[in-house]
Amino acid sequence: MLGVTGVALLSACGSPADTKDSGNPPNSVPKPVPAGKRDPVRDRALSAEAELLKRYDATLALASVSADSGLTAKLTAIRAEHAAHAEAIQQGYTPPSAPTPSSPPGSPTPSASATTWSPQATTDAKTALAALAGAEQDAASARTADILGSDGAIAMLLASIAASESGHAALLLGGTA
Amino acid sequence: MNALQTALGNEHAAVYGYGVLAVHLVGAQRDAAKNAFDTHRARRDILIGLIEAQGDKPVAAAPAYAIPFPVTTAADAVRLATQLEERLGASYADIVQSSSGDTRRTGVEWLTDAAVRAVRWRGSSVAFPGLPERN
Repeated sequence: MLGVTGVALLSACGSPADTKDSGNPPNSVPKPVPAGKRDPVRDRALSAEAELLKRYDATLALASVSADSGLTAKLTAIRAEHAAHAEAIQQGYTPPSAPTPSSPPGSPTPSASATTWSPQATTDAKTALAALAGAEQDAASARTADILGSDGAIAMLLASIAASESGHAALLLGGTA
Repeated sequence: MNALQTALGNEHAAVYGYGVLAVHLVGAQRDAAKNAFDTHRARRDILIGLIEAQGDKPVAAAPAYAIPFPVTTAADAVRLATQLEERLGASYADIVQSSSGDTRRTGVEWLTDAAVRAVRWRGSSVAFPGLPERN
């Protein structure tokens, strides 16, 4: 930026290295829910993440997917982002009986998905990816009411998660800029 | 500065930035940059309207912006476009937090749009678009 006149192009929220100023306001962390109290908004979000995690596990177990190391890496990375979503939603939330939204990363459990969604073992990768993209987009859309009806900080977290899911759908469908 | 004004400042910068970077791209990437340029210009105008409706004076665009790194190749252009969208995403996350109703809905839609554009430029996703402190 030396010797160039004008306002820094990316200045409004600080430079990328300036983490102190590049974040959101200090009140951006959702307030903890009193221990032992249920929060339907978080419960819905956690159950949606659990469902997506199961779908990724089932898809990763497909022969057509596991044979493709690049695709496996891509889906594993997206799965990890869903695990991070669940963890963020769970922060400060200890309901009466804690839901278990995720199986441990790296241990796909295709049988767990049998109750809700289960691709045929012979499903080809393209079909499986389209189904995942649809599930991501549905999950993102389903959050709108809770985003509009919640306190600022949790609304912002859910909006970010919804945006992430729409990004996943774009990635799965192979869209390039 | 309130969240709408910050977002407007970032949209001014994005319009300038896409104007600079688009010339280094060809084909589908060039088209995507042009589409983004048009989209951000339209959003800039919508934000100006929203801010004026609040009785405030919208922040003006700077006459010129310092590009954070030299943009001479397609890879530079893609990197800058990614950063512009990431910065816009953070502005829209702030709008979601600090507003309600239709303005919040707009914030959600534009945060999503910025996240999707960033994914396409970057070729990979992030867990928390608009929340850089969490990624």
